[in-house]
Amino acid sequence: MNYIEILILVLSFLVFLTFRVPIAYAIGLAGFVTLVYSMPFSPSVTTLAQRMATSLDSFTLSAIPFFILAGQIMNRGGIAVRLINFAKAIVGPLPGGLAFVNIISCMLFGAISGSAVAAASAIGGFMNPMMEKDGYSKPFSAAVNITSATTGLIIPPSNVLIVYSLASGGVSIAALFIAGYVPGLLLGLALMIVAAIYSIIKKYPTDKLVSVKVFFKRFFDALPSLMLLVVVIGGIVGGIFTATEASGVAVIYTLILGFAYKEIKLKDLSPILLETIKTSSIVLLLIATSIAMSWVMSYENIPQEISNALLGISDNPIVILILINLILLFVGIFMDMTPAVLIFTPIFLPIVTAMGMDPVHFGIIMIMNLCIGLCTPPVGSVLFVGCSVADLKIQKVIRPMLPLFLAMIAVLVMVTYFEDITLWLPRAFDLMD
Amino acid sequence: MRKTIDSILGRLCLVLLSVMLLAVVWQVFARFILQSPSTVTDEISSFSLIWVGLLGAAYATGQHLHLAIDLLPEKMVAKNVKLFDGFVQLSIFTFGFFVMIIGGLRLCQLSFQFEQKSASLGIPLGFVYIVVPLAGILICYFSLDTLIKTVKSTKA
Repeated sequence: MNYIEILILVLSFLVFLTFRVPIAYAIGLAGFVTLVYSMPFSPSVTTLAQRMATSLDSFTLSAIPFFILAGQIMNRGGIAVRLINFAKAIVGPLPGGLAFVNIISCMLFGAISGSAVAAASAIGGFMNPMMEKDGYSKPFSAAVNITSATTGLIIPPSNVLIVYSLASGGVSIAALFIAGYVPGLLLGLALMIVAAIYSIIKKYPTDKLVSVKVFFKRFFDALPSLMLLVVVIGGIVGGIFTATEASGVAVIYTLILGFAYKEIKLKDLSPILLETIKTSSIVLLLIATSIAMSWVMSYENIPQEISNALLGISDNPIVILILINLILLFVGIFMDMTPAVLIFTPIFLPIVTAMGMDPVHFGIIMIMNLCIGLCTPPVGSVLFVGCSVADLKIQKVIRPMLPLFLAMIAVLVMVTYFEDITLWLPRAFDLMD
Repeated sequence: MRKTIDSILGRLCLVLLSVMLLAVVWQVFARFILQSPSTVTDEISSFSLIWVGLLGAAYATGQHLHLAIDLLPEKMVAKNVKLFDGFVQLSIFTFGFFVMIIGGLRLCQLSFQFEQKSASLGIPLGFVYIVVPLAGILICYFSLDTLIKTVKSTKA
């Protein structure tokens, strides 16, 4: 076994990370150091440069900046407020009312935007003050906001599912998207149960029931935003659009809504585009270096070694799945979602498919695992955004988040061991066999 | 100088992203309204993505936007800020110089040498890949400039 190469790869990566080199560069440098050790210099740098360039040469990946752009436009407020008002009319009167509103709004926002960070900041920005006014504790509100924002990554459209499709060698994006609905809804439901228990104990107030007239007014206010869901997902599932085309259409649609709601003016466009470029290119560099690193790993035969090691521990599928889940949870804590998906999919996917698991099912499991990592330090992007929107220190939010984590893990276990939760919907739509 | 480069780079990315968007929207429009699917929008959009991705990454490097992790205690880092910053900039420079400039130039040279052309637009891929060393140069410039500033502020 090539212990030395593995050691170089892991150690150099950890050293670069510890000394605060940005993650994208740390990944690229670790791949570079390892490859130079085992290959002559010129071919190794040429291959790495080639991997970086060709990894981005993809029409599918073009969807990523567009979904980010659509999210940026939605972030301007008009859409978020209308979704929140609509959610208030539905779940406001239930125990834990505003916490439910927060969760449902995040899910709706996720269902049209595909970015958890955008959901955390857009919904959190409105919900936190509202919940504080009604006497909800600030850290609890932020914790609910942060954890429920991650449902947006499982509920389509979802950039990270597009990345998984790429990493898995072309699993159908339409199937992945539709497969995300039920697990995403379950996750939201589990968070609502925890929030309800918490709110009943703390005796938080609930909203009055709204009249039918108000309900319909709010529904029709939110309808244009919700129609985006029909256009994007309907278009992809119906085979009318590719995911990339749908993302382009989503940008145009949200732009029109933004202008109609007078949330954006022509002069706002260039700052919005520039913000999109910054956010997207951070993700794109991560993709480029992660794919380069992934190539180095397969050149060094590392996925095979890890597979052998795992199967050496046990050949019981349940045990292997537990191990993979634990590894992914751990990875999610220390690694951002995009590189984790790109680096670990080629390692774990062959193992689980050999055990008879469907790649669509595994994709959802993997993303759910990593979603939990997005809410934990030291690399939880959603946690950071959620805390900064709520103006809270991270340490404050961790405690109220613990029961919510348990709920997330419970759903993860269910989704892992009952494949029908994930697969019946895409099967019902005939998107997979 | 750095400000000028920043603003040119930002504008270039802005144009590229807009081109990408137009290409994708045109693709939908051409297929549904004009009933004649476009054959080139796919490549225009993918090639723009490589350019936006790498030039944008250089831009984000200049603005220190790429995420790093806080594994060490804050106090320890605060005491040795210059040391850490210096190491980070040198690491970024190393990657930019060896992988992106040297590796990237060699990649372009090989693709010109083998006359690789894109499938539908027919442009030599070397011109597409030239963005790798280009972004590498920018990344090296930004990291070196930051490094020099850090060193100078140590002496002061």
